Amino acid sequence: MLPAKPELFSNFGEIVGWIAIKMLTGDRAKFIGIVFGLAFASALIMQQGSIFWGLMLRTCAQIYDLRGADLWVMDPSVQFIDDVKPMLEKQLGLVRGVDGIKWAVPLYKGIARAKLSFIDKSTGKRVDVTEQVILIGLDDNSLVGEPASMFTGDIEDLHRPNSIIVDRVGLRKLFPRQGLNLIDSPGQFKSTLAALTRRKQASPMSEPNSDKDLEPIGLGTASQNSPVLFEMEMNEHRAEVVGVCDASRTFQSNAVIYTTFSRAKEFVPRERKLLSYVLVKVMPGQNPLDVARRIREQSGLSALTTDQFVEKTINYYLRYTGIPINFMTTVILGFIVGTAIAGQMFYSFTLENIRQFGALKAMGVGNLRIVGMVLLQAALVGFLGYGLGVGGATLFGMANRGQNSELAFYTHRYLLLLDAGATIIICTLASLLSVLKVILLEPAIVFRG
Amino acid sequence: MEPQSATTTDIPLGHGKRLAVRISGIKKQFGKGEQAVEALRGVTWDVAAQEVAMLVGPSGCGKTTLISVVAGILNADQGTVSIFGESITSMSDRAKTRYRALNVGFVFQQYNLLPALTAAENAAVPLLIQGVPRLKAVKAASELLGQLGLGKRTHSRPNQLSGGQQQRVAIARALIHKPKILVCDEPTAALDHETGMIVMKLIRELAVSDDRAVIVVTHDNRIFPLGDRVAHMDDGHIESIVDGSGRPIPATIEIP
Ligand SMILES: Nc1ncnc2c1ncn2[C@@H]1O[C@H](COP(=O)(O)OP(=O)(O)OP(=O)(O)O)[C@@H](O)[C@H]1O
Ligand SMILES: [Mg+2]
Repeated sequence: MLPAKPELFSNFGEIVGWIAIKMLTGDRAKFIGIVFGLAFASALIMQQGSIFWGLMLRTCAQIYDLRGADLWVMDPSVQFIDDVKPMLEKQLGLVRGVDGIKWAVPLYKGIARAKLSFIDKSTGKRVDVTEQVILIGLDDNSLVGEPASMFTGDIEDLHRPNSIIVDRVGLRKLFPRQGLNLIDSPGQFKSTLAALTRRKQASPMSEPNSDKDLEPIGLGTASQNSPVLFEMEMNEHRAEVVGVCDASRTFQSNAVIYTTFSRAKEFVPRERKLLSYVLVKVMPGQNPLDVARRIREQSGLSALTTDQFVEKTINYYLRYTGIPINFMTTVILGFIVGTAIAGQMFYSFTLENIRQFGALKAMGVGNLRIVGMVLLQAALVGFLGYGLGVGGATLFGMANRGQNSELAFYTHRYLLLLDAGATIIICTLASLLSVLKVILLEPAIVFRG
Repeated sequence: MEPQSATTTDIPLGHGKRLAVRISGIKKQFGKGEQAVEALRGVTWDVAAQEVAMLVGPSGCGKTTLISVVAGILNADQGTVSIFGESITSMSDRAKTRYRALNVGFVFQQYNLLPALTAAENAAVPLLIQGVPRLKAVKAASELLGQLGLGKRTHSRPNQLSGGQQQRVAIARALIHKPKILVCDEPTAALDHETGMIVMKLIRELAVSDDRAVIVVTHDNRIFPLGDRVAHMDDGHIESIVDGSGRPIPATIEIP
């Protein structure tokens, strides 16, 4: 049975791995504490990072949502998508004259004030509410820039007079008391809309509604084809909701209203410059970057591809707003607190087991293997903490996710790497003292009382 | 009797025992300058195989320091220690670590078992350190625990065992890899007299072998009779060496 042959020293893993893990998990409370400390740090970094990224994406969603165009043409001083610097409409003609362009269409993007009227069921009086909305005016003919997906209704209905399309979250925001539950499936949402339609068609609109305080006045104007039945006023012009779309959530989280370019001009106060952007499609075979350069040279306007515009917008937020700093502060705090908690607990775990480490050293476990044990323990808690943290943050994100959510949450894969890196650094820092301690540990301490 | 002057002499081993450990001129000082403590002031002592050598003396006289040097976990300032002819004082730290893993068994006053491991797993640790596969090592350890009367407690954790039982596990751990030298520092000090006697007798029965040195440090004069060779130490010196019945014998052993 005597296996004391020196060459048998090979199974590094047996002692380093098995005993180290037994030691670590033997002290259940401390083990769980360290793992949770790390999970907390990792989750915080993940969660804050995801929200930050989500906000950035939300900001850029308006750019990505507008499909079909290759280039965005704008005033050269525009810094990000919401920083609209209106141009004269004759600029559209200038752009159209540039070589290599298949088509160029106008886009209005701005803030409008929507006046919503309700009947207060208790007093029977009319109540007006004004809401700020994001107004998007699409080229009257082509409707280029239409929402990526229609929830109900048809985009072509925008050709009808007074018509507008509202995004689903926005609709609920504008008509909060109509029981439009956003957690509902599309089917449920649609049947709620249909039920509202039927009720209004069956009875006069002033009939008191038992479970709602305020009844929208416009209910009942819906046609057969488009079941939507809400109306409002913008700049003293009537606007009827003819469809509901799914728009990406924007940074401001106002309702987004789509209409035609010429109608959009009526929905806002008269101004000399009302052209926000020109959307350009280049001829097949043309390099968009070349066309963009020609547009710049000939019109003095700035022309950017979608990606360039997104980059510009994100850069602006990173550079000129306090938002990234706020998030970074939280992330760094999470990092520091995580390091402090995990480091403190890990070191005290090592200290508590110092006699065991000493005994192992006396019994012939060399420094390399002792350090290996400590690092393995650190790696294990780090791995578990990271997993739990990322898992927790993801669950949080999933619980609050979806098109309709107010919470911006997007877990970029780089964020997973960043978080893993941060966890590794935390564990390295946390185990540093422990590693030093066991290296310097004199095995002779085992004989001391 | 002056042990320092007794080099090799008249009273040899008698029963044909082998020289196991030769300690000569070991000096060890802790600290520097005014704080310095001279723990060992030139210790010379031979230990034979096939017997229990005891090291006794007042607190602070240097017993623990001496066996730490002998076991290769503390470097001496001067002097040499050789175990069955192999000089451990001249080894590098790495070589010493390896030497301990293969050749040294330890029994501590406070047992120093790993609380997360079972009795059998604890006893198997030296084999694991050497690289024996876990199942095989634990099986061997269980058998040895059986010989120590703990056959039924192999799956118990240290905190489920009495002090005497824990010390028996520690003895199993110290012997499982058949070391050339077993060092025990106050193995009975934490135990009541009866349990201490049982433990000492087990050490005598299981550890004593003609290819092993057994050194037991103790305060406990009731167990002196269980030693074949009792070295009295004081203030960093070996003062005298007597046999189990108290008859003086020289500090060194003549090599035949
Ligand atoms: N690491 C150390 N640093 C400083 N002094 C030490 C150290 N280890 C031991 N000493 C001193 O060396 C002397 C001998 O100590 P040692 O532990 O060897 O005595 P001992 O005989 O084992 O005593 P006891 O019977 O109380 O265990 C003591 O004076 C002690 O204070
Ligand atoms: Mg001592």
